[in-house]
Amino acid sequence: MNQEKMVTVVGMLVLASVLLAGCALPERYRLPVKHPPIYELGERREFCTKCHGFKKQPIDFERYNHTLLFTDSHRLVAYQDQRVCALCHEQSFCNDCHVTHTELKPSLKNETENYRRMQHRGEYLSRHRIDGRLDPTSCFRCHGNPQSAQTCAGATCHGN
Amino acid sequence: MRLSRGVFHICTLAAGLLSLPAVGGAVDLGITSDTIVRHLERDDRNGISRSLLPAYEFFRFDYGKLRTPGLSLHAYGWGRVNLEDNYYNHTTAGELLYAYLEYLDPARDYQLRLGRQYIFEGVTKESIDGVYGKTDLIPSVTVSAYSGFPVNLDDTNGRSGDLIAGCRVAQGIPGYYDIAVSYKNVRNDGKADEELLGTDVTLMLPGNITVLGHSTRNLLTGGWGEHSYELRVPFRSFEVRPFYQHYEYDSFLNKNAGGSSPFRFLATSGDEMTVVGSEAFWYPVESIEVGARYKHYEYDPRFGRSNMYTVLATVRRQIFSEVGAEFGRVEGDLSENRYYYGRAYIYADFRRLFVTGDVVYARYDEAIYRKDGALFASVGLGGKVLDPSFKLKFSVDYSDDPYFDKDYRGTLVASYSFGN
Repeated sequence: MNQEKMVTVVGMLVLASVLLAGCALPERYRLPVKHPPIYELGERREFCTKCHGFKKQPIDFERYNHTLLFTDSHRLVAYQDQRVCALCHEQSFCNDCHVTHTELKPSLKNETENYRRMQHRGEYLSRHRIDGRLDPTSCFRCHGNPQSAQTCAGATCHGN
Repeated sequence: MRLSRGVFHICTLAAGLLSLPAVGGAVDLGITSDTIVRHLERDDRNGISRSLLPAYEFFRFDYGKLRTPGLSLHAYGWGRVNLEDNYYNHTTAGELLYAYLEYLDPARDYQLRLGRQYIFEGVTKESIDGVYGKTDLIPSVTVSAYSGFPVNLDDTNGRSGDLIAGCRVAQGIPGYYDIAVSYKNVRNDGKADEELLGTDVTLMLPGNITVLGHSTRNLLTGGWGEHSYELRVPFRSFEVRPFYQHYEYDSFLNKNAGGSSPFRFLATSGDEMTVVGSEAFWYPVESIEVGARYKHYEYDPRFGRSNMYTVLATVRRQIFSEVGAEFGRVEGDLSENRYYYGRAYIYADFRRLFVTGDVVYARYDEAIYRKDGALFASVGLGGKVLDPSFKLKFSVDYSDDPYFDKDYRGTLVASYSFGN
């Protein structure tokens, strides 16, 4: 059996097991469409546990606490359920960074929102030479496709 | 080109928009507009000074059932026009970032989206023109799937033969675990561009300890692209988050049309990278946060070992005002890969007005273009004008660095928000 077939078979088995197991377990919690409006939630860096406490059900609120380094590490939770992010953030909020094509880096588009610790604040051109050499995977996440890499080609540096 | 396609999308969705009131119930309207005008001076290659005045508009439109289940329309895009000399390569530019109709079932059992949209889910972080659905109908299981055209490949020989499709199946019990399998398949001009299979998991262990992470397998290369796992260990007012990440470039990066040129040569390099380290947080009182991070990189075989150290802290006053500081050191094997980094900022809120200040300084162990440091400073002032939904923000920044010599730039932002 070649690798492709094996992956397909294993995938189908996993899927069937998940669905069978799922039928025997309680229903998932249904998230509301939006979080009730409090202050300027969605603009500020907030800790969900401040109001919701450390309960693990129906949502593990602690998982979504916006720590000082949340901008750097939120992908692990964001990819698991985008609906939790959408409670407070419109898709346009994510588009400050996650975008097919933009010309303003997030810290320039929102220059006075300095409390958000956005990527590449200040003079980043010279630092990116070093960061990019040491860890190109971190650049690839946002600049890894032909359109988002137009910023890299901007001054004919990394021509497309 | 993209703008005209955007107009087409908006016209298509406008048809859906017109039908919204007929679906029943009250509808909401939300409009957000950010007009950003920047001023900066640049010397071109012939040494001639150019005065640049690009004006940007970021416009968002939401209509329909925005806070309750039902049908709604969402659109967002940006455009730029140069008011003086050319900035970037063209006089105008723009992009429709999303425009989709969304339907959420009254029992919230399923949701559907149609149009241009972003998918952030499992192995997928893509913009598509297509359809997306998600359902919780099977108890404890969430299934989602999408299909359409990949927006990132628009300019690669047109759309003929382009396709993106994927799905994610997650099963979990709140408070115990969540485990999911996801899949993505991208085709460009009829050829396989990317095919990923991934898993993501969250386990909640005794003592409030959480394990979360994901792994991605590249089905085109037959290798693992990424393993990223993190442990979260809270203890009273402390939390430690050790992590492990491993990347195989041949399988993590995309060497096909869907990848980008800065990374294409790396995608065939056979390089691997392992990152280990930890984040740590301390919350002595509610208004103070202290954080630290250590990252150790093993980049075999190109740049060897390197370390990154970061410490940072913020102090909040009331709800909106805060000051913060950050200090970091990047220490590569070679002196050209080492620098110190420091940042301090203030955001002071006075009811209708706010004042901001920022200083960022980097010092390089080895000079870049004969400069061994980079200083950036910014001050801003803003506030609500006449109406609480209208804000004006003005900022001036200064940079003296290897690329720009005593560079001043100004930015004026007019923000309007209705119904949000």
